[in-house]
Amino acid sequence: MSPPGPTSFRFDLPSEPRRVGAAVRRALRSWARAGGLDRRARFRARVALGETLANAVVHGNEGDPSRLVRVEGRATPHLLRVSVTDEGSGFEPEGVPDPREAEGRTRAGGRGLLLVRRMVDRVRYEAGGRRVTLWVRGRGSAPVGAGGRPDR
Amino acid sequence: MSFDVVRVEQVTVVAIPRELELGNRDGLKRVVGARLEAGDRKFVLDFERTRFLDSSGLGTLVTLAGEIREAGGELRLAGLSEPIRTLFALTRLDGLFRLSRSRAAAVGEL
Repeated sequence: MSPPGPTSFRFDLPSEPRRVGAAVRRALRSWARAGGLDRRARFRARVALGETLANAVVHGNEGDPSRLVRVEGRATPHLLRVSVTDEGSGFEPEGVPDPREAEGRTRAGGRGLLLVRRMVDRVRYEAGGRRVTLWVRGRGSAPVGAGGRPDR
Repeated sequence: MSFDVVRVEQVTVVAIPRELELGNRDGLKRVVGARLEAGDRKFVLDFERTRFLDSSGLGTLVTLAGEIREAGGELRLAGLSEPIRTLFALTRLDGLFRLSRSRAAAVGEL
């Protein structure tokens, strides 16, 4: 059997909440083929990617199935990089209130962005918030910031 | 993925499936809503089998806790795995819920 190597993926997702889980699993399978997944990395990537796709489907594209979410990624044994682009009007991540504040704790929503930030090694928002790129370190990797660029 | 419900003495125990997320959270709302409507007031949500929870699942738990409290009831969450406890801690929801080690412990504490 050949050793694991880099894999890449690119697909479009109709904006239906029930499709988010399958899209996340597809990206994680690609990372598993690249040899980067252990239990901890899988959980972090699953939470972060699930939240990002759900935001794109529900908030970005407002659940309109005719609008697509594009998912593009590259996986190596040490790193998963995924970009998620929606067709909505964008948002300002800095404008989202902190759900840990007293008032936010009893609200039903507003925790997704916080979970993304805490689960990934790096996140970048572009195109007015319509495009989000996540980096998650894989098996046995040093955390981002310990040397080297995470976006290669 | 269904939500199995059993009554243990005066306590309604709902088994949360392997995942609680955007795709199935409405099922949990319906199950607990129906039991509240039927007069149940003491609830345990058992996460023993659960391996994944997203922010919409967390939000659903916040909503249900509010509905149960408003009806004069009580809620405990039982059997949360370490990664899922981490999500509660990151969002500071660990202080909003009463957590028990196991289903049996939660039932005993209500």
